[in-house]
Amino acid sequence: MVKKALHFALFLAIISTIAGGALAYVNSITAPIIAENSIAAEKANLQIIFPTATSFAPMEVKDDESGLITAAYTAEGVGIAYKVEVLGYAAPIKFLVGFANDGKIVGLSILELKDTQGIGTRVNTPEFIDGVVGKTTSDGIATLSGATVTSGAVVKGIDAAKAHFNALKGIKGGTGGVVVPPLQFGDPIKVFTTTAGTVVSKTVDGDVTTYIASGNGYKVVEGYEGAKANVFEIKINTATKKVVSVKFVEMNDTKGIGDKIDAEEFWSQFVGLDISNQDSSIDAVSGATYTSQSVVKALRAAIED
Amino acid sequence: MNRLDNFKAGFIRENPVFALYLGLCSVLAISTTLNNAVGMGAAVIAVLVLSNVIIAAMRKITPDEIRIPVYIVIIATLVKIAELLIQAYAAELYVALGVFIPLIVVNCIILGRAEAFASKNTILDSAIDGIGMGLGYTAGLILISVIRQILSSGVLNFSNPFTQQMIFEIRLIPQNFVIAMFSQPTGAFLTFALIAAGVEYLRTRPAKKAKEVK
Repeated sequence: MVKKALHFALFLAIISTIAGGALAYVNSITAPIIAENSIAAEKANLQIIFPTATSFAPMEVKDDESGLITAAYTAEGVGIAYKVEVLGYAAPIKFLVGFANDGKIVGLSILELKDTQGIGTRVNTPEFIDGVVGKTTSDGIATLSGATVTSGAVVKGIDAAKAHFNALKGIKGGTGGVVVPPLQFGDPIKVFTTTAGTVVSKTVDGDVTTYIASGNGYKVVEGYEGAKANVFEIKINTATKKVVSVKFVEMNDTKGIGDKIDAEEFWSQFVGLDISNQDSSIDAVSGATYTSQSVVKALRAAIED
Repeated sequence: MNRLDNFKAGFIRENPVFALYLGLCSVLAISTTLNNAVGMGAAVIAVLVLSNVIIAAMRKITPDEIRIPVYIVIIATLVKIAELLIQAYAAELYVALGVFIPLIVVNCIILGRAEAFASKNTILDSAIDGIGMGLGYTAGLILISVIRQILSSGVLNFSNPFTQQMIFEIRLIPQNFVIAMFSQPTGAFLTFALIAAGVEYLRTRPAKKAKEVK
């Protein structure tokens, strides 16, 4: 019995050894050809980024903390291109980003992009690419307003490549990171034609009256279940009839959309606003119109109080 | 059974795809273009013939109790070699076939023939069986692929897998009349089922006649 088991084990061992030897032999012949093929497949894309480069070699990427870099290629004497894969809005996005040796971003070529047509695909248009190419590896890159998820993912991927490149080349000063694009304003909202919200509380301190007032935002207007109005703190100078300041107390609209208005550029519109002028208006933040309106509603309630 | 019969068996009577329903997973998945079919067919024939020959050569020294693991090691080795060679010399085909090359290991045709034929027959007979079965599989694959490619793209083309040079290309159906569904799994099942029904009819018809005569 033991003898039989030993025989089986030995037989399998011999078969496996022969199989292993055969595989090692074939692998030694094909491995260099396969490595060359993988560059050849990428070469056309690399050539677009580095038109002057004549030869490319794969580069091993170590210490990539982000784990987003899938491959890197050095263009001899010109720069380095990184192949990066990030998770976009719907599916992974693959792209190549090329840096010249002096730290300039020379090219961005999107290889695979399956995000929403007309929204996510904007990262593959000059609108986005022109904002990337020409910057340096220490500059921040702005996301696209309205395509934040897709462009944010790409910028994050570029950032990972920049971090690796900067560490490699000893470039100091960080990667600049993700820059939020400047706020875009839409239509003006007239203060005195808006329906008034509700004043919650009121404290008088000399000339300045501080109101806590609420205005219905997107969720309430659209009838979401359990939706609550947005609450603001509004300070009005009752002597000069001017608004002193407006700020959020509670934001109850969609996260990531409603809180777009929580920016200095938006709030500063209210400072010094003449509440005796019937034509006063505030520019709504594009993409967060309802939430912008809720502020004006609360303000109207405070004015009428 | 003489050798010619043995060779012909793989085509109709024991066609692995349409009569034995073996290896269907890869057939349904990759039968989208003629190129894929020919490439996959060639890989399967090579692995099948070589595994049949090796297993037949070792049939007297292979202990019966551990024959399956031995077969699997042999088949897996051959498949991996085929995969490396395809990856190195026909990169385009490698991308198109993807995961279905390594899956040849578990393709029932190969283990099926090793177990049912090669383990009991001589080296020559096993080689002939491998070629017959392999060609039968390839023929089935090509038939489905040609139908699906023509219906789904309207174009039938074939290019050299080693150089990507186009050998021929003909448009048979105008662009506006193609049925894109045939490039999807639905089209694969539909095409396969219709052909399998036809083959089944051809296979069983003579038998019925013979019965009636009795």
